[in-house]
Amino acid sequence: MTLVAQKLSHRKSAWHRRRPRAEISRPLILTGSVILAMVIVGGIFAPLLSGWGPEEIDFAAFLMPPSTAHPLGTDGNGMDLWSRVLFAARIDVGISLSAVAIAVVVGSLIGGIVGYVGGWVDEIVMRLTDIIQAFPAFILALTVSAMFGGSLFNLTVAIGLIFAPAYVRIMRSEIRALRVRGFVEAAECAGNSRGSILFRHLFPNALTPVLVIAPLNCGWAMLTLAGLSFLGLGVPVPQAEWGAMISAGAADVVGGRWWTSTYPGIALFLSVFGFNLIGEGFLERSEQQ
Amino acid sequence: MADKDLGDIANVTVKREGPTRRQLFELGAGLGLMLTLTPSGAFAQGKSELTIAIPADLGGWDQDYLAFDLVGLAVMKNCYPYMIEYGVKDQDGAAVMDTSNIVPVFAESWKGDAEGKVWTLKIRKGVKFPSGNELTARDVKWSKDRAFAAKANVAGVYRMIGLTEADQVQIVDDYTVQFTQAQPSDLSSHIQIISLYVFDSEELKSHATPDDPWAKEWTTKNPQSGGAYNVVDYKPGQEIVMEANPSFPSAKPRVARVKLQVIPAAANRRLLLEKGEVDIALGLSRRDINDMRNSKGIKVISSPSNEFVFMPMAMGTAPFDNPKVRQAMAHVVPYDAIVTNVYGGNARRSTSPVPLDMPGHSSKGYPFSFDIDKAKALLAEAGMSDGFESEIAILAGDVAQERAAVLVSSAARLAGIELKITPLDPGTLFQRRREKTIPLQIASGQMWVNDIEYLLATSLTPGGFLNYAGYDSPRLVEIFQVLNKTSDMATRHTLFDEVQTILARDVPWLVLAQPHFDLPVAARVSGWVQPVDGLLRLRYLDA
Amino acid sequence: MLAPVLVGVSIFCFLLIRVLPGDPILSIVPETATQADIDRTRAQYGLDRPLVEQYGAYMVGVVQGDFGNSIQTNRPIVDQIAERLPRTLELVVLGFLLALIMAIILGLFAARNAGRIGDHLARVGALVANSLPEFWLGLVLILVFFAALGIAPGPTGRISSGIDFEVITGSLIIDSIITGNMDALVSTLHHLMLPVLTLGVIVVAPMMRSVRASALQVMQSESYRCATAHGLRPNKLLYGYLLRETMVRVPTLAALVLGNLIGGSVLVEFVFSWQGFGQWALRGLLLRDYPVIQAYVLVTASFYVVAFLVADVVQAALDPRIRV
Repeated sequence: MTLVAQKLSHRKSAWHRRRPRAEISRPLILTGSVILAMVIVGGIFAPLLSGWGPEEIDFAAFLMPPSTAHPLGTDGNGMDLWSRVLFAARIDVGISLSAVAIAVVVGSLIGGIVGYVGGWVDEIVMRLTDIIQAFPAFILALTVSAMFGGSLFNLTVAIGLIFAPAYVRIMRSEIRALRVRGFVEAAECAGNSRGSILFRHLFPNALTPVLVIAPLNCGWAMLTLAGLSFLGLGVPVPQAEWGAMISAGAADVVGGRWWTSTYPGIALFLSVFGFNLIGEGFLERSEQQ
Repeated sequence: MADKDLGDIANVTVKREGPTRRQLFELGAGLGLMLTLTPSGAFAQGKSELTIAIPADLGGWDQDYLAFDLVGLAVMKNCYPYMIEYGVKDQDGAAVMDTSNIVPVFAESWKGDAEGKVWTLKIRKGVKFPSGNELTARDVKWSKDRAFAAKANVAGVYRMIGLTEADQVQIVDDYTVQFTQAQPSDLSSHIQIISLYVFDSEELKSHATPDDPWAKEWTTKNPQSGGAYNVVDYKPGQEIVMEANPSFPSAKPRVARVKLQVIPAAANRRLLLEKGEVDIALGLSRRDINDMRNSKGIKVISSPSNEFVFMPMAMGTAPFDNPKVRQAMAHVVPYDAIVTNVYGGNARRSTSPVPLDMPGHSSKGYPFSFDIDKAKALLAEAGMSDGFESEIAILAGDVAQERAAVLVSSAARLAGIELKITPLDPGTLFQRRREKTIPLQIASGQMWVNDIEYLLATSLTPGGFLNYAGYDSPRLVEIFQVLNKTSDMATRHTLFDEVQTILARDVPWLVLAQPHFDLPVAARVSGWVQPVDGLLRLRYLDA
Repeated sequence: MLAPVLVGVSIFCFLLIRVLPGDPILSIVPETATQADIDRTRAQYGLDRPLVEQYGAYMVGVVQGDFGNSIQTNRPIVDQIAERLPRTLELVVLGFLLALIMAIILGLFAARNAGRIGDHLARVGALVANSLPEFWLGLVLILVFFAALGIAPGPTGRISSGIDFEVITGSLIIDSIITGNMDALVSTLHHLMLPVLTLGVIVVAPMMRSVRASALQVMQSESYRCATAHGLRPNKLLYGYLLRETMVRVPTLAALVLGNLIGGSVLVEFVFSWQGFGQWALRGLLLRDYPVIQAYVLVTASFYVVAFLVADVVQAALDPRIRV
């Protein structure tokens, strides 16, 4: 359901739109960036900001409410929640960014090449892309990670795989549009090789829509990762990751121990919100052009 | 909760007056069942209703072709007619099954000959299935022929007592069936309690086809009845409704109507119990149950249980092929933290691979405690002072196993041992178990027959399905073969003792605990009898 | 485009799940089974035949409407689909409709107040909704409305126990209306409240964005400015022009959102014990129940592909100016 906007962007209409008066793209991007920066700083400096390791067990404090020793309380394994929420930022943000990076790089490359070359290669690749996109995302991610083991790397690749097809499409349609506009003929006339045309002329021009969508994608990637971990099929146990923590805490919440699920939930929400703000700002900007 | 010295119990069992297990167990109708009556009244027929939240629907209604599905087996224990059953006794204030007391239910009597090789089942006359067909010897014979043909659970356990061919089961007359085993066995009655369930053969035959002579198709989808309860409604994936069987030949079930609702998420089962929308919630985590001890309107029934949690080590693979390493592991497990945290204190620490309460149990079977220094010393002796890396495999989704694994892995780190936790899906887990490629794992077992001979057969000798460790001790195999043929109690107990000395030396398993069976129920529910096989008997309940 | 993609999806799925570690047969045979027993069971399910033959047999069955039997339960897959899919559809369609209504209201509101505080609040609000993890939102809603306030029923599924109902189409709402079963209808709607709200909130944002953008375009178009200049009353403006033009974009979006929701409702189903299509597939995946997974993937992919097709067709029909 969140893959919708990326579908939209490749159907960009040629209508010229005049925007409303207030320019809000800047505040959006700014706010989003600030939020994300806080999250990322929290993740990077986690060891300094917390007195406990993320997987360190305090044998005397299982499932304790927030206290001076444990500012956010402890979870069912006796691990400090504040520390885990911080360290989880590394995993959640890191994997989301990496997964989208993989999707962008792989997707754009394939889409660009295919858009440029055309022909039967184009047909085959587009069919394959259709197939991957039609495949239910969760099943795909679960199967890939089950096949190669649930390591963080495999999980990243699996999620990247889900989002790659969109970039293939975007890049392809951009490149084809550019081809039509005569850039290619001009460059070819000037004697440039196909490779250099692709990389030096076409890609930079076509990259804009890709970059516009990327932040939004990061948010969705994070939610997908959290969803997988919520079902118990994501990061390895007992790694700190927000979705897994929410899942572990869900049963505790019913018993009145709200801190185990609430804090990771807030952290997850804030991070996705940050990405979404940036993404909305970018969209806003791009629609002004 | 304190550990009993099981030596005492062993003595009691040996010095018991009256019949030994081998001899006649002929008790009058309902005598054994008098033990099950709760103080609130004798033979009153309950008009009440119970709703129970269960974690999953059963996989099918055909007990012969069902995989090891505990929900299914529990439901079927209540709605299939079973010939014989255990009696009930009191242990620590809780009612548990008395495995030394065999009681005929649908049977009129169950007798073995002097040797214990030929067993005769006499069926009560005039008992009818819901279809109206009478339950006779023909039904028993057909049902056991079917079991042999299915080559599943029953055929497997029958092998243990020397029943391998359908013609070892003979109809003597309309109400008498004879079982002729290849050899006498101490375990016969116990195996038969598991296996003597009967199908309505006339009904099933009417649904059979040439391709499907045993009516598997029909039986899988259609609830079988005729036991203590009859299934009156079944909505697949949602609920099962059962009503007390008016033709039940023993003390009538006190609860007239039981509804089993399928609620997959544990948190939801808990919520429903707290809101009073269900009366019993199965499959809740220890933590949830602990929270509910003080909830209004809810009480937690807590019974000592024979289920044991253990960690078999792959004895054929390095580094666990080195006995010193195994002993070091035994010192690295934080036993008390596991009992406190994973089980909320509601467990008994295991003190031997032989379960507590099993005749012959002795704490000499596992002389180990949580001691990191001793562990390091042993590792050094084994030439591994730098520690090593390995993995703990657990069943994906099992919260208790996950928690225990996290505790063991954290503690092991203190001795330099890195253990990666690997949750596995059932298919992969069972596959790797068969291939014996799991270095360390968490498993639980429950011996349906309370006897060390059965434990050896299933878990500690090559070929035993629970022998995940790949344990092969020639002396243990010898002892097992002797036990198979000996029913002299003194000899058996000497051998039981030797078994545990060997186990203490070889340490095939890390033994963690025997968690209590805790069941949160609405305050009005009573009458719980702790089953030795973990399958709840609804007919004892009262609400 | 339809058939080759679906065939491709089914082949991909077929191969993918067979490469997965974990043998489904092992989870249905007892631990005491011998290798012979396992082999026999495997042959029973046809899993010992060469892959090509298995696939061929499977597809022949599919074309005739037979999706095989579940390895776990030995019950026909089509029965289970008929049981499970309507539950998910009911939830997804209602959630989508709720989101659509909210999106139209909020989108139009935002467009009318474009550039001012109302617009910004609405947009940020939609973003907030889009950022919430749906499993977390579901849990929070349950806590607030069930555990604390007692307004909503417990997350036990689609209907309270103890209410008898007949299953005709599988959709409880339709069935209870057909059979005139008021109790069932009320209970169903009551149970649908929270999950539909959860789904609706999550999906509102992209639709709102689209409605707003469309509305803005319309508002800046010549014909609209013309109508405003002529002094047409606001209501006529709204219903006559704004709504209609705005709705041009919506069906495309709608089809895409719905197509995605079928596969994307798993987490919400999980939290609310909905026993829907997605949960069934997840369990099938865990237990390596091949026919279940294959059926789920095929059906979901079909919805997705059909959704795209419908979107294209509707787009072209509603607005011939847009080239497909």
